[in-house]
Amino acid sequence: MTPCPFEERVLTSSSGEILADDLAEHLESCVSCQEGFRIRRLIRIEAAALAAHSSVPPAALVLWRARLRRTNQNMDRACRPVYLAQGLSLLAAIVYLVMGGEGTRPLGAAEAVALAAVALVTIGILVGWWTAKGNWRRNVLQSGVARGLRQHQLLGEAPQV
Amino acid sequence: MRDEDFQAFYQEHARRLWAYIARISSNPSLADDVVQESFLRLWELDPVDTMTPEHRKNYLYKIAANLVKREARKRSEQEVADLPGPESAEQIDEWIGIRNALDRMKAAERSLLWLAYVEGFSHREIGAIAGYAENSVRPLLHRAKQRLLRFLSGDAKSGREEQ
Repeated sequence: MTPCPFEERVLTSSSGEILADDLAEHLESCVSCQEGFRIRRLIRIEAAALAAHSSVPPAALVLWRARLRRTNQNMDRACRPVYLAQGLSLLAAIVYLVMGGEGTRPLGAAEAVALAAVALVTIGILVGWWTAKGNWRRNVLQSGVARGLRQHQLLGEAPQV
Repeated sequence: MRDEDFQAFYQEHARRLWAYIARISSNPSLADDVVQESFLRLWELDPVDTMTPEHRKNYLYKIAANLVKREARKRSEQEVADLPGPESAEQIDEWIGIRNALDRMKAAERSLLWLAYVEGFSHREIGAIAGYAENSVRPLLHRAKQRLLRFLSGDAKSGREEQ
């Protein structure tokens, strides 16, 4: 059997089981569209069952989360120059010490290596902190709190599917 | 997007979207997360204020479908749990039939059938949401429908052979 060219129109134009006259006439003689109608009725039983038991949180909570996420994103964006400046100043200080700037004596090889190691550890700590901060926010704020609230169930009326 | 608009839109679509995701992924836990994330991402979109309600709905389902594809790969099948059934005893027999038939279909086919028969999306919209060319939707949908009908009529053998 080939797909009926009218089926899309039949399915999208109907509200519930009520059809326009010309389409209703077509439906009477078209097996493909009749099958489509049967499937639609059956799948909607499944849809209604699932929707009735769905565990979506209240809209206000989702809105709150959306705002929180935007605030965090804005904060990150605003702080980016500060973190960049911190990194650059650290780098500049290291270069200054290694090159032997005014008021300092030139560093020996061992001292330079030690200083580089300290710098690397510091950068590692900063990167680790930055990553952990992101993970914490994602896990705790975006998932943990919402999941906890979800478990306390705040269900309203199920929609008609 | 104004708060009232968001809340009204959410009330109208959240449970339906949850049902769609739970059904195509067979994973209620995934549906919990994807529904929220989809609405969050929609809210963050700059042009959301200028979208029509239909356009918003299309976009919401497109975001959700993409998230399901991405998240389903990460999660183990052990997380799959039983989906809830209908409360009405009259519909139990029909529901068991359709549930079993849908369970045996591929996720992509379930998605196509759901978008067409539950949400009433046009072929063009289904193509945009599920990532198919518009012209491909009709034959794919037809094939999915035929397979579902075979499963419903208990012809399990032919369905398995096609897979």
